Amino acid sequence: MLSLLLSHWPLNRRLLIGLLPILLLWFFVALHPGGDSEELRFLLIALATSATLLALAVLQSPEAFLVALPVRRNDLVRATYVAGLLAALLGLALPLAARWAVTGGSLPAGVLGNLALILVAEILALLVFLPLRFRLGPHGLTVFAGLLLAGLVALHLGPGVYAGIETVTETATRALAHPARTVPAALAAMALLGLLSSHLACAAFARRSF
Amino acid sequence: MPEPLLRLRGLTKRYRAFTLQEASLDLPPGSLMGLLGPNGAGKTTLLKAILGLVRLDAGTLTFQGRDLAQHGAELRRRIAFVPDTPAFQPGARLATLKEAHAPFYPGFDETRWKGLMADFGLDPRRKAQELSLGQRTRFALTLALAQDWDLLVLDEPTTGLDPVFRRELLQRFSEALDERRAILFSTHITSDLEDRADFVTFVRDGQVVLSDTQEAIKGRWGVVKGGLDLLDEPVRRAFKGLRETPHGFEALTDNLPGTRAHFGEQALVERPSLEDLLVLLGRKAHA
Repeated sequence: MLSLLLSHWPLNRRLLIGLLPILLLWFFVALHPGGDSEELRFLLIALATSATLLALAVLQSPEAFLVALPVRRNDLVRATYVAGLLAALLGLALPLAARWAVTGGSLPAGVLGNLALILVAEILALLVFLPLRFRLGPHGLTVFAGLLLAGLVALHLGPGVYAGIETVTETATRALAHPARTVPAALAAMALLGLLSSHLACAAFARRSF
Repeated sequence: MPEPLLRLRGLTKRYRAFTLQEASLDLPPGSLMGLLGPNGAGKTTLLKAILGLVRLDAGTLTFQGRDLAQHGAELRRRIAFVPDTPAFQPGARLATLKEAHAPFYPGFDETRWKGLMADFGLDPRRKAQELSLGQRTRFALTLALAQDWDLLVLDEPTTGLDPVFRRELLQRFSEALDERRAILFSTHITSDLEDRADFVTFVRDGQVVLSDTQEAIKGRWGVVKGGLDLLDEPVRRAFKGLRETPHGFEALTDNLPGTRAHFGEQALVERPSLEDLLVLLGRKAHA
């Protein structure tokens, strides 16, 4: 698995290096005062960085090239999950580190909780997307986009997108008031979902022909 | 015959419009086997099954006496593969692609790879998307030939290559063989295999219709050419392939001496070329 994770690095290295100026520009914008609150600016940059790196990690692998390598298909699937998780974490850590370096350690109030929410949202997206990707190949992204769109439409026709997001945020804030109880429960739930998702992805990928 | 390096038994893969049906063959070490068949015959499906790229509906594959389905990840380190249309990450440079590929193959020889890149006229700094099909095939060949392989699987590697390079490449393949190695070479260019392949396997409509040494095939099989008046129902049935024109017929027999004796001077009976076999084997239609 380690060799698979490392194999992704040379393939994605140039793209990642190419993205650096854009990421730096985002950091620059986020650290300067503007129309939005400091917290919102910071969260937007964290979300953009993390989502970009996550997409890079899970979308770039050329399947035909990797499947022909002498590795088990299950290892290919698991390596993609791990690479996605690491990329999402790195994408949140980078702006956090940049902010830390510039301000000497101060963070807007409530930022860590919202970063955790972003991470959870990204992981959930990953857990839905990867089984689709491993079953349908490049078409998996289309189906995933369709599901996202359907979700947004359902929210729009129901309580409204903003109200929906607000409800989730309020629920998470209430839950985080008792972190000793809620964090382990949330981690356990995510781990279970992760196992289910990777099991589905492995089973789907084993059936694919190239 | 020594224990086969590669043994396929009853490989079956069903697609909507095509089925590879119970394909079986043995490839002994130290030999080059040509896999011949028209486009869409099932050659690529068969090769992809060896590489684990298609999920089989039935059949077993053993390599060096071990089950490829169970020990595929380990055994395939000893198998080098050149696909018919090599796919690489478009934006990646050739050196980067090699960097991602080499760690999976113990014994990958960097020096040899650099030499092959120079011999094949490829610049490691070029990007995969800038290469023509022929250049991509050349690059795939550098990766394969720099591995420490026991089995080299080639899917139409000479398609898209110029004749000079093709000849050099075929020479390299012959030189690379030793008593532990074997090559499985799919093509529809029969001249690549004539007098070079030790074994020849013909695939048609998803079936292995003939698999034997080239020597045995050419000793036993024959091409018959004659007038239509020689054809009656028992004769038609005896042929393994038949092509009729308004002026006569051309047919395949798997009993060269018997057919010579039967027709005498009435028909021309001669040893077949691989192209004769490819064109006529299994054919029963009128031209």
